[in-house]
Amino acid sequence: MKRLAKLIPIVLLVFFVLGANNVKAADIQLTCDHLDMGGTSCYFFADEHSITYTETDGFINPYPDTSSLQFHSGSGGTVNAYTYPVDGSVYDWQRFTVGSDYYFVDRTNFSPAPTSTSTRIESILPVNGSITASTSVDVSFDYYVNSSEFDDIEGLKIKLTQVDGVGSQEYEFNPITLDSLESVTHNFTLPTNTIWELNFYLERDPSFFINEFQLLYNSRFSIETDPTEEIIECDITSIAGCIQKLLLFLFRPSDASLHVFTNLYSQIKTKPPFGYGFAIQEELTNIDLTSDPAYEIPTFTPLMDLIFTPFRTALVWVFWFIFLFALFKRFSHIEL
Amino acid sequence: MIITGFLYLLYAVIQVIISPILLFDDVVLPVEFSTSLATGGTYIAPLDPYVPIDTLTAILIVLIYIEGFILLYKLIMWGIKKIPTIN
Repeated sequence: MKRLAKLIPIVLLVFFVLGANNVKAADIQLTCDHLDMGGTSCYFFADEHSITYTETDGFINPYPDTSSLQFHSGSGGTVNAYTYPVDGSVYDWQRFTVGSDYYFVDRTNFSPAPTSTSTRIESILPVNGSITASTSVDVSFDYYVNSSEFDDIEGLKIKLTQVDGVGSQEYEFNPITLDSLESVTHNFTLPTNTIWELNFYLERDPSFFINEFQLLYNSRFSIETDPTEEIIECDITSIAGCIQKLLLFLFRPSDASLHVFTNLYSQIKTKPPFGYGFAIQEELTNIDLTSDPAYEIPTFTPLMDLIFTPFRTALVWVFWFIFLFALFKRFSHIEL
Repeated sequence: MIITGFLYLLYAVIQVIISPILLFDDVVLPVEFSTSLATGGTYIAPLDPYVPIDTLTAILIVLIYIEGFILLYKLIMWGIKKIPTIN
């Protein structure tokens, strides 16, 4: 009985963690007319943080019209709205936050001021996903990069990282075309029944910028259950089908029973004491190392390339090693 | 049916356990906290070419989660031990 009791908190924690990956979404109506933006078309892009998966995008044509975006209930997001005239030459940009408790995704490094017409990066969730053994996923997006503002851009990279596993795939568009609206697509072949995180990176010249790859956008999506799952018919000549259906009925959990745990996450995410952890994590994540620094340390490119940048790369491993060692010591002396 | 029933039962138990938590107001961090972190960010940003600040931040977040889980585990165990016949 005592051993069983010790398992209860572990089971609870596991389900809290599982619930974090499947949060229910809520529809929010957005109307282009309210933005008073003009233009012939209107794009809405909603971003949420990488903790949960992202729903995006609403495409409105012609203006004005209304689009529905999905947000996680109890969490937040930022909507980027764009007008898109026919000739593709001018892009008015406006960003607003939905709801007072919605966090703000800082995209100032690649989004211009509201009146600017310079840079635009838009990403569209993967489409297509219905092949038997594996799933063909097209990642398509448009980009427009103004060379006068971002002359150090070398390329764009899309990377898919398996959330529920260890797989990852990436593809780099390099070089990219500047000062022109470009539509690009890359096809990935992914296994079914998996959850993936999609990241877009802007590759910048490391001599100008600290990070070689700067995260532009991320979202999470899942590859659905293989639709071609073979179900054997239950028949007088096929007893195996009857047994199969019986086992499925008895032991396969319904989708609804799994999704109820997503409610737990959304319910406790904002409540103390869990809410403090999530809020602090969000604040730490939002620290912007590319913002205006309080002071500047002069850098000398050859020295950076020869000494400091490799040293910095090594430090990443050193820090993680120290962390793992500290973690080992922590758990070896833990008193529960 | 069996697994489904077990999951619903577990969900009901967890709902009962967390129901007091739901009575609390939502967590809102003080504005000063956010401002302090943002200001701190401006001070550590120049160090980023030499020290991987994002790695340190990630480690800090993982540490917070681990310590939070340990604390939560202790809290749940403390509650379970209050049940008669379980010590």
